Amino acid sequence: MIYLFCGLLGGAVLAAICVPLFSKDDTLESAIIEETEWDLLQRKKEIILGNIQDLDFEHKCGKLSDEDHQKIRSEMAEEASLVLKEIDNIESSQDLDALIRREVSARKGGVREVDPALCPSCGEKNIVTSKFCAECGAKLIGQ
Amino acid sequence: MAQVGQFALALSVVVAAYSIVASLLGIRLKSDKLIASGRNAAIGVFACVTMSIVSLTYLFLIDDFSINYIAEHSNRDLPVYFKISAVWGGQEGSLLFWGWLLTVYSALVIFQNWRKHTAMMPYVTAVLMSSGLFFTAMNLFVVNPFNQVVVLQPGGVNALFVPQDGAGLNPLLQYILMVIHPPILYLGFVGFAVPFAFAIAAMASRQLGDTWIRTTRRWTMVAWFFLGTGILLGGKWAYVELGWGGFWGWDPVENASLMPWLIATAYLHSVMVQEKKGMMKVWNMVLIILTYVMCIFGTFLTRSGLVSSVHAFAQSPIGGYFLAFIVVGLSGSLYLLLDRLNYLKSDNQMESLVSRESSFMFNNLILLASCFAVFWGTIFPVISEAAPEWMGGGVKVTVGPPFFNRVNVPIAIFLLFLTGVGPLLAWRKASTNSLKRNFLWPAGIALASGVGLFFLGVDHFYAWLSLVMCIFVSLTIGREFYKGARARSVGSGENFVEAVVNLTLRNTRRYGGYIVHFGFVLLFLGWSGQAFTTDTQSETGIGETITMRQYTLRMDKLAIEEMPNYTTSKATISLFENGEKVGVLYPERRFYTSSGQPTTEVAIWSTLKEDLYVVFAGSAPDGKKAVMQVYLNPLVAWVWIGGIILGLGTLIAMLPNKKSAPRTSPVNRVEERREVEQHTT
Repeated sequence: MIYLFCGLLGGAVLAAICVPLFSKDDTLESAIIEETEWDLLQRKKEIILGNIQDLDFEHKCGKLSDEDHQKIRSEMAEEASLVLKEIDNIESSQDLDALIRREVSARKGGVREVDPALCPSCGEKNIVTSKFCAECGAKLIGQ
Repeated sequence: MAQVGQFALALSVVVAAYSIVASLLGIRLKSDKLIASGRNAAIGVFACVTMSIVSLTYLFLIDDFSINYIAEHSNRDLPVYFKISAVWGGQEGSLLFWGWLLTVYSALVIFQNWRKHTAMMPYVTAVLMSSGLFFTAMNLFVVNPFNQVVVLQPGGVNALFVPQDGAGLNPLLQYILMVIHPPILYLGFVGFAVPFAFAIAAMASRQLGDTWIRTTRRWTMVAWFFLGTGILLGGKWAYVELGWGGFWGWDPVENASLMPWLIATAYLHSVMVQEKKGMMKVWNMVLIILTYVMCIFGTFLTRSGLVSSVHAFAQSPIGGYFLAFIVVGLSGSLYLLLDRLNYLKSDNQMESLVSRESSFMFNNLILLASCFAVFWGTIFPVISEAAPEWMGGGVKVTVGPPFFNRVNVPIAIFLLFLTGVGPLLAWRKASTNSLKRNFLWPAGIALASGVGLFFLGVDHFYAWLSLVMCIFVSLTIGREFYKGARARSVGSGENFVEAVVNLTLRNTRRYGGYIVHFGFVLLFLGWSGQAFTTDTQSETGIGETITMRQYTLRMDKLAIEEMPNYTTSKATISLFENGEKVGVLYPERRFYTSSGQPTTEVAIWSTLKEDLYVVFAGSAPDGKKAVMQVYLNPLVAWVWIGGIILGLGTLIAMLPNKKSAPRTSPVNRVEERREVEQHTT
């Protein structure tokens, strides 16, 4: 009985471990980078939108004066338009190619070793389509 | 069955080690096959440890006293539910239970997130299994629950031995709350492994946006909920079972659970700043690393016997291994953090000292200061003893409740103040005009109530300040609900109650958070009452009375009763309030047969105003009278009510919002653009 229990447990665990090793499918799903520059910008846009909604609600509740509401709202709107501009840059035709290239190379596993958006000189993280670092002006590896 | 448990435990160690290697190698070689194999191995570890703990439970239920751990922690007359709780009632079993919960969490996290976060999950698996490997290896090699009883035979030979009966479970643990207190506390401790693993995975995979925070938000709250509930249940146990009249004694092991809770509370607040403003990224990493490290440190304090504690039942010489695990984990995490600093730059700057984000920052600093004070007070006796004599060391200095109260009471009251202030401040910057608008009425009413309280006789400064803050914070919370519901009902035509419900359900995190804050107000109300506790002690014979304020206690009967597991001296006391009989109390003093240890079973008459707390402290020298210790503890019931509200608020905050914003994708970007333009014009 004891041997049966131990055998069943050991066999099941061994099978669970080995089955994936002999499967033919190796899709490299684990190489998909979830947070590309585009994803981060989209997320930033969602957050700013949410913040504007919260601000409007707090104003509606009477927690903010009209003056404060106007001022903060216009600052947020400015931030939102900057983010939209950056999204536009990435999504414009030429840069979309860059985006696809990055995704493809990421799937092949090339990008994870050297991030092309990362400045080799100062370490600043630039947007993926930049040719030169926004911080120090050095040429970026990916371009 | 012991062999099955032992085999499963040994297998879990091997498989956990394989899971780590396969996951990391899979990442390095970019092999999904290896990564999937590592994932399956982690599920396999769960199966093995489950088998191991089921075996141990079965051995407890069939009274297999050939197993040393069972012989030391159970006996034949122990009720079945205590036999089950005895599985985690001692060192070996509690570590196995810790490891088992970790594997449960790991399996759940893997099932939930594998497809969603393909790049992070192999790292998450490796981190979780590193903890899993540590605990299973400790169980296998150092404190094995399946070791058999051996006796030394003449001639120096060890021989197997099966005792007729076990030594029994520690009597202090034979209390119904003790069946659930350790599992709940452990669910909290172990739960923080999940956000910690995601944080490490985010750093290792260089995906340092807020994905890891959003993914683990609910996991963090689940862990925080269990840890908080576990602490409160521990307080309730101490109050009812230990018989010293209070619920919190700054015992090192109580402190050990409080410290990660304090840091996790700071983290729960500061992640909001990261989510909203892209700030405090490094800080959040530090906080979650510290939270998990403090959870392990807490387990280390409980287990090592480093400090003297009421939890002495769980000591053994395993401290060194824990210390090594803490040092390796902490230094590895901090190295990774330093290496990834470039990815963790803030998106924004703090714009004003009077803003929501700065109030979160203050809250964080205060919580950390409190945690440091608790940490220092807890380990100071150890440091003072270990320090060389020329530094004044070599003497064990005891740090007692007066130190902890002196430091933490003002800190806690300031935190309560921030609880009221924070939600009223706007993000970015609050102008003087907005401040006046939000603070004038709540502050005015709270101050007026403070004057009233003083004239009503509340002359203890901190209790007075705490009560004034309770009023202030309650008003600000009430005002948030009222204004929000009113604004909502204007647009939607809902009545006020509907508006409150929908307001809460559409922003569960914010309004659930306010309910949690209100729970804290009630906890503070209960704590403030502690400043006015009074007590008396007397030797009382049959027919004699004890009077305490409006209460009179009359001793009706003193009897000795034989129970299957213990012998008890039981008093029957009639309780009169202002001369009118209101109830009968039965304080007891028990002697547990198998262990020979005494315990007190306190009798409590509890009302919302105060608790009358009666302890059967012992028999008088003549044997005809009982020594009764009676405490009058004002407002204690509010601590437990506050705890329940705190739990409810946390559960609400965990609910998904009733209607969340649609997820963005390139396909619907035209609509989104329109939406943004609407908002920004």
